[in-house]
Amino acid sequence: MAEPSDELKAAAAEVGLNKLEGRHWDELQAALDMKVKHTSGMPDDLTIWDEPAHVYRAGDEA
Amino acid sequence: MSDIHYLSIAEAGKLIEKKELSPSEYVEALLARIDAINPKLDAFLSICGDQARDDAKAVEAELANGNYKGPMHGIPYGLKDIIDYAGLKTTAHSKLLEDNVADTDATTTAKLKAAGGIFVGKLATHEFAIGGPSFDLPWPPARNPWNTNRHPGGSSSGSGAAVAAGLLPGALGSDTGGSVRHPASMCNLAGIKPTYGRVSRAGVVPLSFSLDNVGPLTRTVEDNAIMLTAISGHDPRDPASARAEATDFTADLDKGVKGMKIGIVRHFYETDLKAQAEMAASIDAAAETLRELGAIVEEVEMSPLSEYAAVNRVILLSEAFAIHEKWLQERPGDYAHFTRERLMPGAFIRATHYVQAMRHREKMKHAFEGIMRSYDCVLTASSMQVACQIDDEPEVERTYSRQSRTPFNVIGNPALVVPSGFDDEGMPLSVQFAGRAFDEATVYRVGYAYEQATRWFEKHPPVDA
Repeated sequence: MAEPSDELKAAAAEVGLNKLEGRHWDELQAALDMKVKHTSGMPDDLTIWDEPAHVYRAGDEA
Repeated sequence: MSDIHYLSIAEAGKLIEKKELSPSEYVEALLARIDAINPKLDAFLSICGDQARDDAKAVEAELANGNYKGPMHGIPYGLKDIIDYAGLKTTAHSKLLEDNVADTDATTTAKLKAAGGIFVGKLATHEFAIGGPSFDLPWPPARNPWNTNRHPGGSSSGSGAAVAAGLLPGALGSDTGGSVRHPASMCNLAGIKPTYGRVSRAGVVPLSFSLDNVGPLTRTVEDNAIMLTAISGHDPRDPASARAEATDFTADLDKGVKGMKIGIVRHFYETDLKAQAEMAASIDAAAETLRELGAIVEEVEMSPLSEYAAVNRVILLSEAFAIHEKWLQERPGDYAHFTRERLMPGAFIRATHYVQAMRHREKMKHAFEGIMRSYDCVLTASSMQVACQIDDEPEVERTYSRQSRTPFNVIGNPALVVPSGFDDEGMPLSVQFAGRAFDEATVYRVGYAYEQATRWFEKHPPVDA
């Protein structure tokens, strides 16, 4: 990528990726596309009662 | 005796116990082979030959004193270089950890030492168990001994290459989205992702806290069960460690599958993704073999692969970015190209996405528990195709997600890859068996029955030529 777009630079700055250069910008664009693919690929069938898979437990139960 | 370098752990262990094979002789044979073959494979990042020789002598003294510790006693092994060995570097195959020396052993390392294993060296990995195969790092990527122009699978790539080529009888890898089972699939090996919590992650460079597992790669299912027996068990150093009973996973191996109910998940490799014809045929042939052995095999349906993959990636990338955020911000140029590209999506995944993924994860876990109330085991694909060219970046990227291993990372259940033949170019094919949580014993039992009926493990790669 010759010169990243202002939009791409803003996306990087928002998450503190301020030292990207050269081919890193192409990788960032690919990463943004991948993020959309993953987040939109999840099912859409949750009810308000569906609990997450918890990784925190109180006490010494691990 | 078969070639000493292709002895299974079980075979070598019996010979060592009977004092028909000396650990020193065994270690010397493997070190000579590593010296000859490793330059073609780049499987090792470091080789501890003198230490292995000293350890072999110590084992001989223990055996002479009647102190036999079990089937791992005197067995050489290697560690994926994200697993700590006290006093040695753990680099994660990364410039960022090039000078990182471990203070203490990982729990898995300590357990292998306690079992009498002889540590030989650290093995190549994809950078931080997520990048690669990368050519822009301080060390080259490992290559596939079945064809050194091909990808050995990853991220436990050196573990797979070294064991397949007879440089070691067994090695540890890690599996967050399939990284033990991928090299097992590409290199004609047995590889297991145990139940999450079965094996301690303490002293292992993390990629994704809630998805990481440590598991062995070996040439046979029995050897895999021996190594898992040695490394599993509750560990207070690992907050996710389960209080599961210690088990001898070899105890029921040969009880057969007669009367067992096995579900075959065809939609993973027929419609969700379309597997290479020879791969699909080998899975269907495995189903037929299991029927001939007396199992009942019926088709079952799980959620679509794309949904498991999305849930796995949202969780994995969120947790991985939390680990790598500071380095990516301050030293992005010190990562390999593949690693940066694979880690950066995690910067943009919102908290809501992560929580939704964890909610789906719970639903998927319960759905699989429902299936497993009617079945002892499920059979499906691991990879959709054989290993691609290692330096063909578009093909490496295309094939990266063409697999059905991630479902079992998402739900946490054990999953074992076993060889299932070869394609017309001589590259390994594989099948995957998965089971109930903490029921690795049944998964091994089915895998062993299939392996003994087909014996694909007896074929070795043409790496000596």
